[in-house]
Amino acid sequence: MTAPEDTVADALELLLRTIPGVAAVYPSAPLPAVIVGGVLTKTRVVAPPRLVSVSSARGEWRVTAAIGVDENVPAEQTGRAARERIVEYLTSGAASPAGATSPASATLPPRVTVRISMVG
Amino acid sequence: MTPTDDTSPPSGDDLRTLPDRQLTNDELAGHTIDELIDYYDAGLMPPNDSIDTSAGCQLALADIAHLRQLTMHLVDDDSAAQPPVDEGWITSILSHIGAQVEAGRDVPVFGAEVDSRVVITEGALRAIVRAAGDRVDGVFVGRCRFAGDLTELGAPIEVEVEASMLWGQNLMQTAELVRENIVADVRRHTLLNVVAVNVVVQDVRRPSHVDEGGDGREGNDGGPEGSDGGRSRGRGGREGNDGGGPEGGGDVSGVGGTGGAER
Repeated sequence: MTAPEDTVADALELLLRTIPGVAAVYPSAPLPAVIVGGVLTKTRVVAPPRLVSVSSARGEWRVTAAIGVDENVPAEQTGRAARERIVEYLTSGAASPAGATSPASATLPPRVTVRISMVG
Repeated sequence: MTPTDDTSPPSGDDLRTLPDRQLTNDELAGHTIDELIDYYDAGLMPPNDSIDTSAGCQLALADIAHLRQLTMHLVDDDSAAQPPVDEGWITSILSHIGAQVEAGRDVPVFGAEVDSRVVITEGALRAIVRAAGDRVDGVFVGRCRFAGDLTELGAPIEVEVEASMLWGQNLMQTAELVRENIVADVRRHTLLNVVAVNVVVQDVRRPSHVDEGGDGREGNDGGPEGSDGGRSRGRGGREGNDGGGPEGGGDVSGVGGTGGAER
């Protein structure tokens, strides 16, 4: 069974890839976790780790996404667009964070970090 | 200015070894520079997910690609004499690549909002700077450092780059082009307040047939007419030919000048 966070992470990864200027989505989890996750995936112990880190608690989403951006578009502009699209998705009611006691639209604002890890 | 890394030239003959560590680190997703070079030379085939999905590996591959181009340029210039391309010089650059791809600090590029932010890694920022410098013909930017509080949006930042240049270029003019490119690209991609860009000409590569011919211009630091333009000042304190011939490069510095740009 897929956790709601994983579903959101998958949706956000797809969303990011549609944003003009986003050239890649990289793992946002700490690298040791990525490597261990990769090994466990190969041994079929766990599902592949998500590129976008998503967690939720007490009615709040926390998202970290690491992206590579096209050098032909200002990185700041692409990063800002990525952040806005993520916030839009999380506040659209498409999913509710854990611990939400009210409709998704009334939950706390999501905490979103977009990290530009590569330009070029 | 606070150095962000130690990239003194590698000792010994191990081409892929830094002075104090192997070129394998977390930022390269567990890969070595050797493996990345092989992957690049194989045309990025067969696809390797762990390399293709690692920002650090992608930064290193971009540098390797540029180094390959510059090496070809040197070989072309030397086609008559067919000299060996200086492996020590290449080694030094490779050691820089390994150190420079580290992600480093998160540099804010937008928003001081409590609930969200957009940042660029210091490694990606270095990639912008180096790519901007590398766009100038015959220039390869090696080490890149930042002085100032990168973590505070709007804080004044100084950029210092060390560059290798090909023989036959006017150092001052070339350094100015490097500065202009860096300022323009950093401003285009970020909101950083770059107040100065310092270009240190670390090395001047010249074809060996010039060296062998004995041009009689001792003390020449690489200017096309045996001049450094009268503006740059030697910093290495070394007499004689510091042009960085294939056997002598690596420890020669000339300050290409300091340029500032208030935002």
